[in-house]
Formats: sequence, C-alpha cells, structure tokens
Amino acid sequence: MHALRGVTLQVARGELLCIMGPSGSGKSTLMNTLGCLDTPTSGTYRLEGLDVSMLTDDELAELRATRLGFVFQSFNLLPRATVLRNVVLPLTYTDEPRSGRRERAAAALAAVGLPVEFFEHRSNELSGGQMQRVAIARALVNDPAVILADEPTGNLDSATSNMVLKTFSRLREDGKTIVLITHDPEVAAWADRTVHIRDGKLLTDEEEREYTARTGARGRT
Amino acid sequence: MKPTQRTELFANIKKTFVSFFSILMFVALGVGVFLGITWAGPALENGADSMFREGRFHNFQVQYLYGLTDDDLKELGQVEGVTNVEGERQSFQVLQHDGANYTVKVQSLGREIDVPIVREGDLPGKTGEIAINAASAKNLGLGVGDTISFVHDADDGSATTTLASNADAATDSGNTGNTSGMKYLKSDTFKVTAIIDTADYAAKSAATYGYSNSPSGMVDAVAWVPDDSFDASTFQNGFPIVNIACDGLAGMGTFTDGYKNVSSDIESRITTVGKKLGTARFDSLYSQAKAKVEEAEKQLAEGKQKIADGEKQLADGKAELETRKAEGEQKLADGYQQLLYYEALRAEAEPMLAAARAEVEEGEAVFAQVDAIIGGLKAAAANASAYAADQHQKLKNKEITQEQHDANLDAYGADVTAQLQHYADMVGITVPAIDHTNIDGVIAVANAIVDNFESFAVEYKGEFMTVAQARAKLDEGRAQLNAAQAEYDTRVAQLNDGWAAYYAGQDELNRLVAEGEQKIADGEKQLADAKAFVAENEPKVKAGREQFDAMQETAWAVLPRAYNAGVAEVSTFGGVTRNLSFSMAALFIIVGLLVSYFAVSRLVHEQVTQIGAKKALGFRTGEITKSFLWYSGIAVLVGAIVGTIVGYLLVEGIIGGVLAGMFAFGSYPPYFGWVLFIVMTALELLLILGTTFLACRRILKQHAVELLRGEKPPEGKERFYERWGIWDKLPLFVQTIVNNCINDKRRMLSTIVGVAGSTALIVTAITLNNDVMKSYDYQYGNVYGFNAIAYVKAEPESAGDDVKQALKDEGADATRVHLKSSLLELPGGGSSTMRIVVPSDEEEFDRLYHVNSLIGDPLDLSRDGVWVTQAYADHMGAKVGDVVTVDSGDGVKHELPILGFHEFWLTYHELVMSADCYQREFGKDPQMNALLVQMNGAPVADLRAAATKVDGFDSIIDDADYQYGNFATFSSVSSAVVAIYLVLAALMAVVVLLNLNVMFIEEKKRELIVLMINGFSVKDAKHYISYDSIVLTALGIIVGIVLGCIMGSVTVAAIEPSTGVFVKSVDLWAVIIGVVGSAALAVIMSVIALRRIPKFNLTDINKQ
Repeated sequence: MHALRGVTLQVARGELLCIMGPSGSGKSTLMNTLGCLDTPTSGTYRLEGLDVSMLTDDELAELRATRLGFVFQSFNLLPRATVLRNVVLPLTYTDEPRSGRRERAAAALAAVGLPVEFFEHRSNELSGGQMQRVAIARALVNDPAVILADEPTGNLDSATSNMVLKTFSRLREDGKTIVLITHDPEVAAWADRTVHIRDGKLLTDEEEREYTARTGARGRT
Repeated sequence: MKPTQRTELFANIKKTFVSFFSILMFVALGVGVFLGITWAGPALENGADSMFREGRFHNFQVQYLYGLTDDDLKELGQVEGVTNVEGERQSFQVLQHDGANYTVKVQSLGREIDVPIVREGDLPGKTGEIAINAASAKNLGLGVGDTISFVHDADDGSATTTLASNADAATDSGNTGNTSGMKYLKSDTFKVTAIIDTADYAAKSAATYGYSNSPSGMVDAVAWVPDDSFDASTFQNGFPIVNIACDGLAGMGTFTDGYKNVSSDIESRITTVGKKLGTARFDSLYSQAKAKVEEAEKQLAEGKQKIADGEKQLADGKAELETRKAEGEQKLADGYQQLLYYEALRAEAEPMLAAARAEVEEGEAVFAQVDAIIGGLKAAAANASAYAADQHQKLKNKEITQEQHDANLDAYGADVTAQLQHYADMVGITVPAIDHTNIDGVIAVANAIVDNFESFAVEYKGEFMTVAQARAKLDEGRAQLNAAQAEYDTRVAQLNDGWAAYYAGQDELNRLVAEGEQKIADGEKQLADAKAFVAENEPKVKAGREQFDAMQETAWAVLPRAYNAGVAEVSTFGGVTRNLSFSMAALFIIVGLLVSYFAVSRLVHEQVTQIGAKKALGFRTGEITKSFLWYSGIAVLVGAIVGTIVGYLLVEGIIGGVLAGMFAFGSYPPYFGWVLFIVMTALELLLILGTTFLACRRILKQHAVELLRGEKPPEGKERFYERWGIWDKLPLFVQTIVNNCINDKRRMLSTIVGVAGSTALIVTAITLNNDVMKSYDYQYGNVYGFNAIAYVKAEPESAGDDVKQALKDEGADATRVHLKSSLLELPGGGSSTMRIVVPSDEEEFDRLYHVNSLIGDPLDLSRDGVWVTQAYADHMGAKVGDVVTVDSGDGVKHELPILGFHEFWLTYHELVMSADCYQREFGKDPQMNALLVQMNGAPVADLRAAATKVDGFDSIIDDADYQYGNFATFSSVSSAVVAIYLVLAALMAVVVLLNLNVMFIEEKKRELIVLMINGFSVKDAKHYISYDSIVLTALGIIVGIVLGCIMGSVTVAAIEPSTGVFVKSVDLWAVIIGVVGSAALAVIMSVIALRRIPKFNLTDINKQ
C-alpha cells in the first residue's frame, strides 16, 4: 500500500503552501517526508538542492536542526519547562554560546508576539494560542529555511487560529518558507498556494473541484 | 473471575510484561533468597540427623571423673526413657609422624551406640588394630595398612584417662608398683585397618575433637580400638564415659524443640540416678585409694628403717675390715722380717758352701785325674804286658824274629810311651821312652805303681797322708759337703717355702681385703639403690597422698547432644544462615514493595482513561481494584513459586555445597518447609497487594469524568530553587535533570532505591567477606604480637627456659605463659571453649600480647581478677564486676571477678589473669607450659628443629597459620553468601534499573521524538535522557553505600558466633567496589535501555 504515489512537488522559497486532504490521504506522510522524518521508498527529495536520501541519520538531524522547523497540532512542548526553556531546547547541542541562546530564544518569542512576561511561565500555564506561538518560536529559533506545520490550528479556537495564522503570514513576509497541513479551507485561504492530496496523489484545483462535485465530499477530512 | 476480566488481565500482563516481571522477580528474589538461606539451616540439620541415625549417635553422654562400673551401667539402663547404655574408654596418646608429635584421642569402638560408619577397610577386631577418623587420616596422611606407634615419656606412660573434653588427669595414685607410668592401652603399635566416621565427630575441624592434657591441650586426631585393647585395670575397671541411647528420641530431629523437651526430662532422671551412683563409686574408690596410700606409706617407712639398719651394718663392716686388714698386714710384716733374716743366713752360707764344694771338687778332680792316670797306667801296663807276652811267646814260638820282636816292642813301647806321657803330662812328669829293652820293666813298674798307689804318700790340706787316707778324707769332706748341701738345701727350701707362704699370705690378705671391700661396695650400692628407690617413690607416695587428700566427690556430667562439638557446629552454622536470611529478605522485601508500588501506580496512570471509561460504564471501584490486585497477586504467586524453586535448588545448593565440606556427612539433600513457604508467600501477597491497593487508591477515588479527561498535567509552579540567582546560570540540561527528578518522584525514588539496593548488596557482600578476614588481621595486628605457640612438658623444670633460649638463638622472641583450655559456663546455660592465659613476665608478655582493655580497667596483674574477651560482654551482656565461671577440669567451678573486657577477634574466649590470682583461685601455681613466640620471619620448621634438641620440648605450632585456616573455613561459608549477594545485586540492577530505564525512555519517548525532530541527533537524545540516570544513580550509590555499610555491619553481627566478635567497620574496598560495581551495572543497563532511542520512529509524533 502506498501512502504517496507519484507525488511531485516544488515549493518556492518564501512561499506559504497549504496541503489539504482528508484523513488517510497521505498528507502527514508527505509532511514527514518534507520534514526528513521519513524517507521515501522511491523518488527524490531535495531540500535547497541537497538530496536528503544520501544523508545519514545524524546529517538529517543536523538538517532538521538548521534548515527545518516543526509546528504540531498538539504543540508538543515540554510541560514542566518554561517558555524560554522550550524555545532554547533546540539550541542545546549547537555551538551557540549559552547567553546567545537565550537572546535568540527571546527574539524568536518576540517574533511570534509573545510578551516577555510569559517567558518564565511553564508551557502548561499558557493558553492554546500562546502554546502554539511558543511552538512556532521553537521552530524559528534555529532560523530554519522551511517551517512545517501540521494542523497548527487544529486544537485552537478561531480567534487564536487567526492569531497563529497571522504569525505564519508575517514569517512568510520575512522570507520563511512555510508548508501547512490543514483540512480547514479557512486556513488554506491564508496560503499562497494550496495543493490537494487524495489517496497519496496530488490533485490540481480543477481535479479537486471535480472530485468534490462528484462525491459531495467537501471540507471533510 | 469473568472470562473477559481474565482476558483483560492476561492482556495487561502481556502489555506491561516488564512491570509484571519486575514484581515477579523481586518476589522471587525475596522469597528465594530468604527461603534458600533459611532452609540451608534445617537442611544442614537434617543432614546431620541423617548421620546421627546411621551412626546411632548417643542421646546422652555421662562423664564421670571416677568412672562408672558395669553395675552403674545396668542401673542406668533401668532409667525411664533409657533404652541402651554402653561404656567407653578413652586415652590420649602421642603419635610421632613425619617428624612432629600429634596428640591422638583413642577411644573404644562403639558396638551399639556411636557405631562407626566405615569409609574404607575393615573395623579393627583385636589388639594391635586401629581405625582412624577420616578427617584425621587425611590431615596426617594415613591410610589403611599403615602402622603407627605411640610413644611415651620415661616416667609418664601415656597421657591420662580423661573425661573427654574437660577433665584433668585421673592418675592411679595407689599403683606405686608401676614405675614406668600408666599405660592405658595394652599395645603401642597398631595397624590401621579402617578409615571411619562416627556421629559424635560430625564436624571435620580438629577444634571439635575436645581437649587433652598434652602441653598444647589440643587433640589432633581421633582413633578407635576394640575395648579390650584397653587395660581395664588402669581405669579401675570403670568407664569414664558412658553413652546412652533413648528410643523415644530416635524419631526426633536433634535440633527441634520437641527433642529438647523430651531430652530434658530424661536428662533430669539420669542426673538424679547419677547423684546416688556417683557417691557410691566415689566412696568405693576413696576407700581403695586410702588403703593403697596407707600401705604404700607403711612400706616406705619400713624401707627407710631397713636403710638405716643397712647403713649401720655397713659402717660396722667397714670398721671390721680395716681392723682385720691391719692385723694381716702386721703379720705379714713380721714374717717378712724373719725371712729377711734367713735370707741373710743363706747369703752367708752360700759362699762357704761354694768354697767347700770347690775344694772338694778340686780334690775330686785331682783324684779323678790320678785315678785316670792310674787307670790308664794300668790299662797300658796290662796291654803292654799282654803285648809283650805275646811278642815273647811269638819269639819263643819263633813266629817272629828277635828283631821283629824288638821292633814290635819298640814300636809298641813308643805308643805306650805316648799314652803314658799323656797321663804324665797331667802330673808334670816325663815318661822315659819305652822300648823292647825296658818294656817289661816298665810294665812291672807300672803294675807296681798301680798296685801300690793307694799307699803312696801325698799332701792333702797341709797334711801328709797316703792316697787312701787322702781319698778317705776327701770322701769325708764330700760327705760333709753333701750333708751341708743337703742341710742348706733344706733350709733354702724352707726359706723358699717361707717366702711362698709370705706371698701367699699377702695374696690372701689382698684377696680378703678386696673381698671385704667388694662386699662393702656391694652393700653401699644396694644401700644407694634402696635410697634411690625410696627417693624416687617417696614423692610418688607423697603425690599419691596429696591426690588422695585432694579427692573430692564430683557429680556426673550428663551431656545431651547439644554439648557435642559437632552438634554445636551444626547449630552455629544453622543459626548463621538463619540470621543472614533475615537481613537479605528485609532488603528484597523493601525494594520489592517499592518496585511493585511504582510498577502498579505506573500501570494505573497509563490506564487512567480506561479506568474512567470503566467507571463510567458502571464498574465499581472494588471491581477495578480487583483487576490490579489479580495482576499483582499472580505476579506474587508465580514469583513465590519461582523463588522457592530457585531457593530450594540453587541457593540451598550453593550454601549446602560449602557447608558439606565442613562436616563428615558430606552433601545432603535440600530442605523444603511448607510452613515457611506458605508464610513467606502470604507475607509477600499481603505486602504486595497492600502496596497495589495503595497505588490504585488515589486514582480510583476520582470520578469517572475526571479520569476520562486524562491525567491532568501537574501544575507548573515555580519551585523555590528556581528563584535562586544561580539557577539561571545553570546549564539547561542541569535544570532539566533537577526538574525531571523533582517532577517524577516515582521514577527518582525507584531508581535511587534500585541502585541503592544493588550498591548495598555489593557493599554488604564485600564487607561481609572482608570484615571476617579483617578480624584475623586485627587480632594479629592489634592484639597478638606473637604468631606461634610452643609447648613444653612439666619436666625438666628448666624446659621452658631452655626452649626459650633455643628459640631466641634462632632469632625468635618468646615469653613463657600458662596456657590452658577450659570450659566457660555461659550465663544463659551451656558452656563454651575458653583459654586461660597467665603470663610469667609482665614486660615480656606485654610485648607479645597486647591486652587492650576496651571496657573496664587496663590490665593490671597486681589485681585479683580477670580480663575477658569483648565477645563475652557483647554476646552475654556481662559487665565489669560480674563473675565468670570457669571449669578447669578439676570438677570444681571457679568464679572469677571480671575487671575488664579486652579486644579480641578470634572465635573463642580468652581470659588473662595474673599468676597470683591463678594460685589463689586454683590452689596451685600455674605451670608455665607454653611460650608465646614471635617467629620474626624464621620458619616454624627451623624453630621446631632447634627446640626438639631441648629436653622437655613438646611441640610448636604456627598459630597465625592455624587461625587463618579457621577464619578461611568460616569465611568460606560467608563467601557463598557473598557470591549470592553479588549475583542478586546484578539481578536487582537488571530488574530494577533496566526496567526503570526502559519505562523512563518510553515515557519520554514523545518528548525525545520532539527533540529529535527539532534537531537533536540520536547521541544528543541519549545524552539528554541519561543525565537524569547519572544523577539518580549517583544518589542511589550514595544511599546504597550508607545502607550497605549498615547492612554489612548488621550481617557481620548476624554471623558472629556467640564466642567471638568480628570487625564491623566501613570497608573502603567494599565502598569502592560497590561504587564501581553499581556504576558499571547502571551504565550497562542504561546503555541497553538507550538502544531503544535509535529505533524510535519520528513519525510517531503524529500519533496521539
């Protein structure tokens, strides 16, 4: 069984791409592949011209540390660590000096609009939106080229979702490449481009419209 | 249980098998170790009992200084409960073997009781055959077919009859006729026909063979001979030892309370009988001894009187001899003077006689000459006459002519002239020539001369007389001479006879004097012999009188089996294992409880949502709790069964293997006790189910809706230390570690407990091993400045000093002491071995024996009292001022005040007192029978060789080496336990640490995946997760060291025999090995657990 079949995708630098698809369509698999969490059984994935299939596990980890940032639906923050600690975490084993790490973390948190007074709060003392912004800050702290967000607004209310999406939009304007997975068209509306995926295949907008017209499956995951 | 519940239960077990297994393992370890070590004691006891049954071990042994008669035995047999009674004789003999002396306890073979168990060969059946104890044979290198000979001192036939282990010599004071001492055996040479074991020597150690009256007090070997190899008369036809069997006790285990109770009743009945019979025996022997002593004294007095008489006779004889000698000499002197007188006369007569003889002989010579001339003349004349006649006749006959006639006559005349001239020359005459013309005339003249010769006149002695007169005178003179000669000869003969008589008289006098002197000398010798005999025997008679006067009535010693050294050894090691098992079990039960608590609470937390769902569906709290209780209960039951099997087969096997080597009965089957198994299982069930209940309670108290929400994350309060300025400066991983530890107390405690338990086991094991041997080091470092003991005999008196000098000449240092093994009565009953030490020179003693008084006053030999070993205070609760009761084998109990308790690390009591104190208490000066020797590097063989040349030397042993062997034997038991501890430490590490590490990693899996997604490499992730473990391991090691040191001391105290103390100190090596061992185990388990991380699938982040 193939999670992805014949997927060919190019993402431009500074693009906010949205990947939409129902549950089981392969979007998480695609995200995992883009995030170097998984390797395709066949095909090639190049990140900034680098063929990741030739890389070792440690090189992939290095890649994830320096070129990629991840944002998850369930935030995946360390509940007992402070906001600042959560954001500093990816810098632990880098060459960044300790004082520099805090500054970069603070800068990342500022970039996502989290006030300074929240820096020493534990992550589980924050609201969903705040936690998601911390997660985004963590994803940014290493100044990655690409940010991958899997259903970043899935657990948030609409107002908070908007706030997070605005953050993403600002980051895109700052030149970050962002790939979003969502099932929510309202989230997809924020993207520069949306690709649809069904049964492991990417569909064009027109193919997607035809499918939805045929099956009546719209906006369902 | 409903099928669905059963299915869910087993699904849970399968899903959380690591947790289930950890509970199971801890229960198994706790139960297995406890039961295995505890059962090692009963197994050993059963093994011993098996040998006791096979060897028909006595139930009681009666020892009585004066022996029991056959009638006593019959009466004993009538005591209620007594089935069989058998007398036994014993003697200590000295065997010289491979250049050393060995004290051998020779006993009579048991026929119905204490029968031999033959290991090799055939039992001895007659005098001259002997069987040897297997351990003794091995130690001495003897085997079936070897011949051994016992040696005796000149004055002391053998050592003495004894009361097995605690009596002094019982010499036959009345037997003054046996000047060569007492020999209890009929023969000294024996052939080894069998190697055997007997139930009364179940332990192989020679220390359990009892005590002898050899200078060293030790028994080196045990042997048996048929009873008729003993000379019963030397035992006063009694048995110093009697063995008793009771069928009522036959089916009972020796070490059970039931046996002790029944045995106690029978013992009291035997004791009651013994009082009466003992008194009767004593009275009988007392009377006999009294008669013998008085008879001996009477004979001694008579002998002395005879000596006095003999002295007088001798003096008289000497005087008479002198008198007679003087008389004889005087007579001889007188005779000598007379002889001299006659010699003088002879001297006068001899020359006169010689002169007369000479004269007579001269005359006779002259006459002989003359007679010869006359004879010749006559013959010549006759011949000439005949010839002339013949010629004349011829002429006449004309046979010849005239010329021929004349010529012939001329020629003949010339011959005759020559012949006659020959004779004429004798007288100085010239014979004219004879021819034909004158021949007839010559013939006629010659004839005339011849015819008339006697009438010729001659001068003889100045007188003129005829020849005949002269001849007559000469004849007279000859006759006178002959008469004088005869007279002279007669006188001379008489004189010679006189001389002969004189010499004969002289010889006779000499002979008589010599004879008389010889008789006097013989008399003096006999007198000297008699005096010597008196001198030799008077002390014996005196000693006999003293011993007789010292005879005191003593009671029978009725000794149940518990007094047997082998039985005591079994009890000791049984007790040691029991004590060890408790300390072990406590650790595993405690750790097990914690592990099960954490495992179940983790299980409950993981199933929070399910529990909520069940509650929402109507399941009662009790029903939900029951499922967890079943979970734990099954783990406990399975664990208990597994543990019991492991304990029964493995742990008991290990300990039994070590113990078997120490006893004659060898290997024995393991023991299983249902009661303890059930109790232990029930206890574990109770405890584990209790902790399970506690683990479930908090969660199950919550409402379903709260449970369905999932477990709330704990509130993230800022902790107090996070406000410290230094906190911010700490690296993230340090902060994370600290927070992780604080936040996950369950894990923290579990890990610390697991590591602490593992560390404690290692530290305890090494401490146990080292502290036992450290006690030996302390003893020979702090207390004993000597490392060998030499023993000397009582005679000669200078033996001790001579041996001391001989040893000093070899470079050793020595001091003389009295060293005697005795029995110490324990306050709670029973007795224990004890050695009395009495120094002869305080300064020398202090150099070689440091009496470090730990409680009470320092050693002061001017005071009346004793210093006892610290064990007596520690184990018996004795205090300074209490008394210690000593039985030194004279049947009298001596109570000695305790002045102090001194440092002592050997497994028996030792008691130091002054010579004055000894004398006051025991009524005699202590015999300095031993020397404490510091060999100073000299080999003991060299010292032995030097001392052997000294008269009175008995033996020398390398005491340090001997004690080391004892410690090594004891340590071998603890080493088995040490091995078990170390294995358990490793198992605990595996079960606890690995389990915890795996669980922790599983808990942190999502977090680790997030970190790895955010750029942590696998190595980074491992570092991140293992820092916690390192810190917790370090904390656990620290706790474990403290716990291990405490447990080590407790465990060492648990295995201490009641007669000794072991060092209980923090052992640095134990700590180091504990740290290193635990750290290594923790690292290994961590490494194993961390191997999961590379296998994480990062895409699992997408799973909720």
